[in-house]
Amino acid sequence: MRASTVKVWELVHKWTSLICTLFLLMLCITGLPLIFHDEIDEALNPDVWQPKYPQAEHLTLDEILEIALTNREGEQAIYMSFDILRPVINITSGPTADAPSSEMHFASYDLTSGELVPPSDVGESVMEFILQLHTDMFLGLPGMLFLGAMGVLFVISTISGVVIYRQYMRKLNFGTIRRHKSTRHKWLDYHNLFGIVTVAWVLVVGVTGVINTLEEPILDTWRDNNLKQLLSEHQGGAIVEPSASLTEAVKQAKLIAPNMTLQFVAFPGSKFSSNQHYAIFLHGNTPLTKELITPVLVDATNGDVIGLTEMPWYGKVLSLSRPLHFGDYGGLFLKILWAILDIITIIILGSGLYLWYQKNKKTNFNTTSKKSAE
Amino acid sequence: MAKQLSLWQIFKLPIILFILSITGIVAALLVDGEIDLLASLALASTLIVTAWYILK
Repeated sequence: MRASTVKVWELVHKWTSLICTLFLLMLCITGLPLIFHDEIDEALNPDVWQPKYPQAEHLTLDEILEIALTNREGEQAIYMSFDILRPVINITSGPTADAPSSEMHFASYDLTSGELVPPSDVGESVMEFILQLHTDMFLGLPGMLFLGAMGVLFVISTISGVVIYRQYMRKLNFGTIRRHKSTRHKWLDYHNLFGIVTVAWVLVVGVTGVINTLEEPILDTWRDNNLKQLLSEHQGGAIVEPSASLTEAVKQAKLIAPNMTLQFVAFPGSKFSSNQHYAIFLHGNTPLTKELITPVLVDATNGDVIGLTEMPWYGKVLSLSRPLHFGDYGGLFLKILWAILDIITIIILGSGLYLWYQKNKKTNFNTTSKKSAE
Repeated sequence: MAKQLSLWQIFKLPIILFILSITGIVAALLVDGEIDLLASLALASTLIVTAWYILK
């Protein structure tokens, strides 16, 4: 490679890294507990709850919904979701179906008795705080997109790092750490070794992180393009009061989406539905397709099934980016690897900062001593 | 002065580790259960090799 080209790559590596390093450090540190979100939740909330009548036939969705709305007088159902392991249904309600999340109420019900299930939310506010900091630094969409931009710089910094790795390693065997030389040499070697062996993981987590920051625009596009298309003849008008049976609607949805599992229901007027329909979301059953959701729309006034629409490619990319970013898709061992790689990334960022500081000090010293010599 | 290494000599191991890591990361997404451990091991290889070079 020509010397001038190398210089350009070095400049790219230096500046992209310098701009994003502090934010990346924050992301790596807050990301660490998020990898173990499930384990932390479980440890803080030991599952002592048991269904009241384990042998009893489950209540219907309509019955649960009625109980929930009686408990929350004057409120509308917004979402209904289903626990995976327990016979529990969660209902989100609010003054209106399009109420902001701050006005929503979340309650869980025992499918065998219709009784309230006590919330297991010890420590949730702390995890929620960390997640929010990690996602958007409490700045909403602009914060998310900003972190996305930092992620793009980080990816460029990684790629430019691989390019200039060659220059540093021309005379050094792989994995050489020059411990006997200066501290700077030692940390340069660690920076290079750690950097080059984590490239694959860093790129996967970096790129999927950037995709996750685009969640809102991606979901909006999906809703606007696909759902509206499906609804074109049925759209418009005010939010309806759901009168058709939800139990029946879900049964119909399962019929036209066989081999899929019910995940959640969005009620008319909510963010994930139209003003007149139940949007019934189902997911696949293989390790890969269980990340992908498909909505079936059912008219909430007369129970007519409108149809199902497969997720567009960009929705699929987003859905797969979530597990690939958080590393929570392959068991505890994979999570531990994610954590170790995260810590190594922190070392790479820190050593990079140190190397830049040392080099800067040296250059400044050289120019000052040159000047005083003149 | 030490001999200059070729491009292949410099990037041979990094490329192998890159492929192993990606294979592990993607494979863990495609399978469930016991095989997840195998996929994770492919990703772990990169850490094992690094540790070996640092400790040797």
